[in-house]
Amino acid sequence: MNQTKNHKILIDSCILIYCGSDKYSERVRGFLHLLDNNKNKLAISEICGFEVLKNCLNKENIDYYLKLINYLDNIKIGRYALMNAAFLHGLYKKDTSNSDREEGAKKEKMAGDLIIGGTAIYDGALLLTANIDDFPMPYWKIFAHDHIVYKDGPKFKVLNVYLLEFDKELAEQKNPNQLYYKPAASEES
Amino acid sequence: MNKKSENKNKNDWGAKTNIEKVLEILDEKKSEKQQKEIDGIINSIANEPDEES
Repeated sequence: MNQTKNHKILIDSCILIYCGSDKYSERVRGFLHLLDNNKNKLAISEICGFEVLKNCLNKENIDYYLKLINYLDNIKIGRYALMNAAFLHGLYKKDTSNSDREEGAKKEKMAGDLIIGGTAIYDGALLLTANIDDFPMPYWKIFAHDHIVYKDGPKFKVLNVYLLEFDKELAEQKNPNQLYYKPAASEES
Repeated sequence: MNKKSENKNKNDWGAKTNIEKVLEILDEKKSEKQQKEIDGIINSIANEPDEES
């Protein structure tokens, strides 16, 4: 992950939620600091606020996550991001191969994850997530990977954190008749 | 859609992110009650983490 420089990086809602947990916050802080130092542009999709806050009942947590959301750039969900989300929905459903990750691709995806994926495609951004099943292979390729080791009772556990990149060429090959919006080459960073 | 309207719909990426404030917030310690709710949310959204031998 420390080789990732000068990219747009869309932070998934799950990463934002992990920020709130003392188990992970120090390492997530490290990832965000590193990515920012490497001149990457960090942002969340507008829908992250909804995805995070819908789960919070505790006022202190609502205040905590609101601060976090408000200090991050919230990328607008435009019609093209939504069109891309619809495209992804169709693409995942169409897939009939049977590896474990692709099995995951066939499951119904949450609208929020589709919209976050659609926004990343439209904006030509990488996706920072810990929930790789929400952005299934082979359409989302691992661009970089790191992990957080933490103690949970007597056991050590590992949380994997990924930077994912959408494979536009593969998506077009697999579904040539379905149009989706992507940035013109000259606009991609 | 032409190029001009494409550009009009582009986001000004990351310009509003205040990373110093974000990192500051990540240093905040939560109460036990807060932590319990956050752990519950994580359990409901997360993939099962791998155990390390």
